[in-house]
Amino acid sequence: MRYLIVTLSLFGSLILESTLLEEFKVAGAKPDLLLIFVVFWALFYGKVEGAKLGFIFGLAEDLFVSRFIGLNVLCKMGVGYLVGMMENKFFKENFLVPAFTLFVATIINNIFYLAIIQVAGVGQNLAVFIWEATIPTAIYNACLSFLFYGKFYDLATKGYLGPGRRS
Amino acid sequence: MARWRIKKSTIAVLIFIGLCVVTIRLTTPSRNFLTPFEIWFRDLLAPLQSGVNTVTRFGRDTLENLWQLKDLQKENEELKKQVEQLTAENNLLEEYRQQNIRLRELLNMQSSLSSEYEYQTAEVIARDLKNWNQRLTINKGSKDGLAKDMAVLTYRGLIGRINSVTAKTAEVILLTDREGAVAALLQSSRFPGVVEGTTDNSGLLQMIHLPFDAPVSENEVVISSGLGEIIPKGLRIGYVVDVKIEPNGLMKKAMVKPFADLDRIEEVLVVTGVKGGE
Repeated sequence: MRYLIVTLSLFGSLILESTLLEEFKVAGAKPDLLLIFVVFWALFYGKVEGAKLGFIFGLAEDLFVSRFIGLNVLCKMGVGYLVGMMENKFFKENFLVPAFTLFVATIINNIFYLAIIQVAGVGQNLAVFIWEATIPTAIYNACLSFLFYGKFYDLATKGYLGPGRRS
Repeated sequence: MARWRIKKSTIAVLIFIGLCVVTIRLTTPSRNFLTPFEIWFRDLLAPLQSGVNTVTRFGRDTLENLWQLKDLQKENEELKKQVEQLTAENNLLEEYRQQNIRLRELLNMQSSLSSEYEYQTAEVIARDLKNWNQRLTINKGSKDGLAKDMAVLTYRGLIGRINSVTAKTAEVILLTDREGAVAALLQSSRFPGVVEGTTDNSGLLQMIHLPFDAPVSENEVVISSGLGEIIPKGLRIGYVVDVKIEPNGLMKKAMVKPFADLDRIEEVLVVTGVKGGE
């Protein structure tokens, strides 16, 4: 069951981000649904699981956009790992924590993004655009966490998600 | 051993990061190929993207249409008003254009006639109530020098003569009227006859009193002959469209289509005198 949900989340996020969410841009930014899912996952299941899912989602995103393959892998893995370190340090019922975490995680993700393209020596002309879109995207992601976290929480607490359950 | 493990994992992470950096550098947007994984993955998602995109576009268009409905209604009303206004203006302009064409033609005719005739221009202001296409009233009268039996023309040709005058108006009796007969001439063969109206409402005239052997052919032009001294000679009347034998078998008649459209006359010329004549 969890593979099905994760796969649907992955494909659904990629498709929605490339189609429907174009219509829902705010201040030129659209939400990063993949990152939202990785952050939720890491908050619930820890740094290793967060990094694993970050790797899978990052790789899928890179293959989908077909450029700089490895860039989102590193970003989302890093974010998944860092957020996963908070796993047991907050009450999962508190909906403000994921919202705040997503805000910070989005900024960290984009800092990673910028740093890696600098190190790799590619796409420097993207830097300004990425940075300008960072705060709107972070706010957007944080707001959407109120919409999605409840559903994720239900699925996770009922055991449909996470490494503990096999179906 | 622990230190060695840390080093090992750190090295593994560094190697992984290094590999990622290499793939990033190898997969810049400027490369000329896609890997089979990318092609497969994109092709896998393409139909889904297409479907969602279609639905999204439909939804967006529907919402936009609904959103714009009120504005469109308002705009539609304004445009309708504008259309009405412009149509009215256009009709007026068309009226002016048509009038302009007619007046130009009239002016041309005036210049060609001016060497031979004196004339007066006039506008049609009324038509006969019962037989509107056979008599009409013009806005010039005896005050302007008009008198009974003067020839009346349009730029296309002779249409009739003045039947009666008041100080400011004149009644024109058209060629199609039973009393509107004029002496005429076949232009090329010079055979004389009389052109009068017909009673079948065909809008045609008939040229009667033509001898049986008169060489009349279709399309031959008929002009006024000047006999009877009512209508000056040489004014174009119409052209022959048919030739018929009279019932007595001794004479024949030519059906003549008038050059002027007698149903649509708005401006006319009245020949008030012949230059050099009395």
